[in-house]
This record gives sequence, structure tokens and C-alpha cells, in this order.
Amino acid sequence: MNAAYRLIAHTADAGMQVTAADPRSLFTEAGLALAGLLAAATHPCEGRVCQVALEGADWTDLMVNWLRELLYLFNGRERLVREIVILHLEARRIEARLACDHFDPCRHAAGPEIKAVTYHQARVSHDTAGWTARIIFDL
Amino acid sequence: MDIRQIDAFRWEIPRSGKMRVPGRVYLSAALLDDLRQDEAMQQVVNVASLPGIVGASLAMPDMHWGYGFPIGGVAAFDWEEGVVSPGGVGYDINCGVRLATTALCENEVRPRLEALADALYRHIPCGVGSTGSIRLSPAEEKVVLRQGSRWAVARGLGVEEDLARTEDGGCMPGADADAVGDRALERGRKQLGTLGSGNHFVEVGVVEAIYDEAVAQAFGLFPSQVTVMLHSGSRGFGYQVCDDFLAEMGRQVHQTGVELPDRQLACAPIQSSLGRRYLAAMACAANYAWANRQILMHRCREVLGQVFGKGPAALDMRLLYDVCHNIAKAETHTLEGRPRRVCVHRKGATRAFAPGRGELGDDFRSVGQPVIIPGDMGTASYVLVGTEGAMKETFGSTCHGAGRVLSRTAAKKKSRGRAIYRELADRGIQVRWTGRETLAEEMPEAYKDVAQVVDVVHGAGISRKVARLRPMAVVKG
Repeated sequence: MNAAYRLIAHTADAGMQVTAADPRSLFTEAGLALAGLLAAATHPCEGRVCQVALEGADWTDLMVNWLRELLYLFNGRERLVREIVILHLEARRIEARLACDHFDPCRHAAGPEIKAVTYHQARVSHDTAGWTARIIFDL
Repeated sequence: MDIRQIDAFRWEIPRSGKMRVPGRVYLSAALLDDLRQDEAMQQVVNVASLPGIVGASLAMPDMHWGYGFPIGGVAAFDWEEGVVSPGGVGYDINCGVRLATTALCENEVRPRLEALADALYRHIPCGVGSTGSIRLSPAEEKVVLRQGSRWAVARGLGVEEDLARTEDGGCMPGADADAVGDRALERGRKQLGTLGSGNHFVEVGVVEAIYDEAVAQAFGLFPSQVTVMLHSGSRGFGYQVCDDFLAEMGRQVHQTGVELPDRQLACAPIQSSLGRRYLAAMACAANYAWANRQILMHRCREVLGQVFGKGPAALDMRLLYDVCHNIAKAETHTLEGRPRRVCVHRKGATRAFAPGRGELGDDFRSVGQPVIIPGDMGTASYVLVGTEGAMKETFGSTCHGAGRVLSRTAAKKKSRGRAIYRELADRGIQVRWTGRETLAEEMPEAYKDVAQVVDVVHGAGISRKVARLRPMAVVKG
């Protein structure tokens, strides 16, 4: 996989810009980047597997919905995503298998509380150089 | 952008393009300079384009770049023709502040300050993923959502007087749990009675200056008095309500023909089924937040009683007031000489009603609403009082805090190599915290000077200074 992300400074909140060669790498890297912001883990993945299937109106909406789902798994189900396998991906639909840890504040170093993935300035774009996603989180 | 100065504290963005009303912001020249690199002004313009907005798209002096609406934004929409926007309320629905006074003086507390900070940290659940000692059954959760603070007081977690000193009596009407999604309900069952993280805090402070003797006396404030301030909200319950409705409104907004300059401004007509459902779910979250702050304050009462060996009468820890600063409310205001029902969105802004408003209850109807303005953890906080100026200009609204000036990334960079807790301790402030980067992100320099912010709202006459509080101990998530 050839992908990378950098954090975007925002006065009250925070965001990230992810770049990748293709959409599968983009969605994988964006998901893992979000997980890395939520909490740091140094031990091997516990391997609690779950599967998600999501839809969106376009690539941007799909990316927001994807990250919203991963954030919900963390905030609502205490599941920290460690590994992602994209099973199916097109502009309006994603299916993925996730391997997760049960979030434990004693074993995982929690990052800042991310309340939500916003639509504010959200964008997925692509050109000959590759794919880019820009997302702002509400902290 | 065309920004015209009206006077020392008021600036107008004249109507242009798709703006339905002008923008008006309350700033000093110095605070305006801080916003040059920020998108907050454009967000004031964007809000001015939403259907049914009346008066002006407003922003308070603690304004900064938000998402959709600016933080510090106030916008009122006609109750019949206008829209409601979850982004105009924010994810943390009814995030707010409450301030309690005590009979303790600084010289009694100072010798035991470290023990007090430790005890508060032990007894107030805080930090990412924290859960409280209260576990709600699905049926009991719905009672909380309907009753708000009343639920807590009925279970011995507070006293009746607390309700009279909470905005809306701690219970927003119209709450309907059937409007709330399963995910929000699930998240709400385990987080009641928790502080949260980030900028949420418990702060023990001391009254260090009084600006208005008569109002301070009516509020029960005196020099050297020890106070307890709480900043928290509706926790994951509120975040999920906002998230669910933003997504739903985003999918449906094209049906209303509304062109949005920012998808985060997704909205629905107030009188539509979706708009009404959001308001019913938002009221549930508002009530959850009030119950949450009520429980947290009760825990603080218990801790102070234990640490200082005083019973409730001797401690005399009384709620001064609880204000929400992320909310949309149905209110009646005078516009062009006529009363008009509007839905006032306050996102990072505080209600500041003048004397005479019926909503204030017996304790404050003759003096005006107490307004609680927290600053950063190293400087000061303020108590203000609502004024007629706010009723005339800002739909009875004022600022909500210092407002950030540094991004979290910039704050972390600035804190490198420094021990923020030690710097604060050297200034007499004990800090306890949970998150690995909380102190760096929340360092005093990350915020505007709250005194400058308060001077603007005081100078503009949209609220008036009553007292300044200095922090002594702070607990953060």
C-alpha cells in the first residue's frame, strides 16, 4: 500500500489529509489514521472481527460515513480498529472486515476525544497523481 | 470581505450575494486581528444565507472557526418559516456551565488545596471512554430524557433550589425519546454523571474582584469566596443525536430546494416532520446534559463536605446558575417593534436575559440572568448579568468563554519542553488531568484573553460585568 496522512490544524478542532494511490488504500489509510488519533496501541491486535457495509451519495459522503462508523465503533462499542480489509469498494458503497481491540484505557493510550466526523470542508478527490481525502473532526 | 466598523465593539458585514440578512460581529480591533487567518467571518456570511433567518447573523467576541456555524454564532429563525440546523447547535448539545457558591473562603481552602484537587479527581469520572457509577435501564433512561435535572433531584442528587437556578428549570419541554436513535440511547445509558474530556472541567475558584456590588450581593457573591464551576454537556448521547440528524438532514435537504454553502449547515424547516423530530431529540439531549451537570455538582458537594468536614448547612454550596451554550430554543423577541416567535440558535453563545423576563424565575427576575463565562485554566473566569442591550441586539445572547486562538496542534508545539502543570502550580493552581495531551492542548495560551472578550460584551452593553474568579484547582478529562 502506498498511502500517507498528515494532520490539518484547525482552531478548535482537528483534521487530516490522506493521500493514496487508489481508493482502497485511501479508505484503509483514513480508517487506520482515525484509529491512531483515537488511541495508541503497542500490543498485537486482539482480533475481534466485525464486518461493516455502508453507503454514500458519492465518494466524499461515503468517506464521511465510513469514518463515522469507525468512530461509532470506538465511542459506542469500545472497539478500536487495528486492521482493515476492504472487501468491496465503489463510489457509493463500501464493505470491509475489521479486526479490533476492546478499548481499555489501561492498555491503550487514549488520544483527544473525537466527538464527530464533520462534513465541514470534507472532500475526496483524485487526479493523475492519486487520491486525496480531507476530513475535519469535531473535538 | 467587506467588514465595516460601526463603533469600538461592533462590526457589520453588509448583505451581499445570497445573504438574506447582514452579519454583525462583536469584537475589539485586537480580537478582529486574531481572526484574519480564520474562516469564522465567512461562516457568519454562510449562516446569513439560511432560509427564515431574521435580524442578523451574529457572532460574539469569542468567535472562531467552527464547522458550518462559527463557534460564538447566534442566529434566530422565524418559527413558522425558518429552519433548524443541528450544526447551529453543535455536537455537544447543551454543553454548558454551572457555578456554585460556597460559605468557604480562600484562606480555609488553600491549606488543603492539593487534597481537594486529588479528591475531586478521584470522585469525578473523566477522560475518554469514562463511564459513571450510574447505569440506566432503557426505561429509566427515557425518564432522564424527559425530566432532566428533575430526575437527579428526585433521587437525592441535589436540592429543589437547584432547579430554580437552572436555565429552563433543567428540563426542556418537548423531549420525546421516540425521536432518538438506538445508537444514541445505547451511548447514553452508561455515561450519565461523567465529565468528559478536552475542554470540560471542574474548577475550584475564588472571587477576586467585584464590579457590581448590588448584583453580586443578589447573586450571593463576596470577595475571597470559594466557588465551584463545572463545564460539561450531553456526552456521547448528544454527539450521536447531532450526528444522526445531520446525516438525515443532509440526505433530505435537496428536497427543500435549499442551496447550502457548506454541507455542515444541513437543516430542515422547523415545522417539518424532520425539523420537529430533531427538536424533540435535541430536547432529550438538553435534558440529559442538565441531569449530568446536576449529578456532577452533587458529587462535588459531597467531596467538598468530606475534605473540609462540613455538613451541607455549613458548606452552603448553592447553585448560582446553570447556563447552556450549545442549544436552539423557541423564544419570543421584539423585532421591528413587534413580538416574534423565533428559534434562537446559540452555538458557543450564552443566553443573557435582562431583568423582567419571565423565564428567569423569582430569584433573578428583578436583577437579570447570571451569565457564567469560563476563561482558560490559568487566568480567570467571569460572572456577568444579562441586559436590555442583549434583548435589543442579540436575541438575549452574549459570549460563552475565552474562545480558542491556537489550534490543538499549535498549542502542543508551543508546550514542548514545558511542564504546564508546574507552571500552573507556581501560580497557585493545582491541576489534575487524564488525557495524554490534555494539558498541552488546553494550556492558557491556547485561548484568547478572556478579559478582552468580556470587555467587548460589557462595552457593547450586551451583558455587564459582576465579578471575576481566579482558578485555584482544576480537574480535566
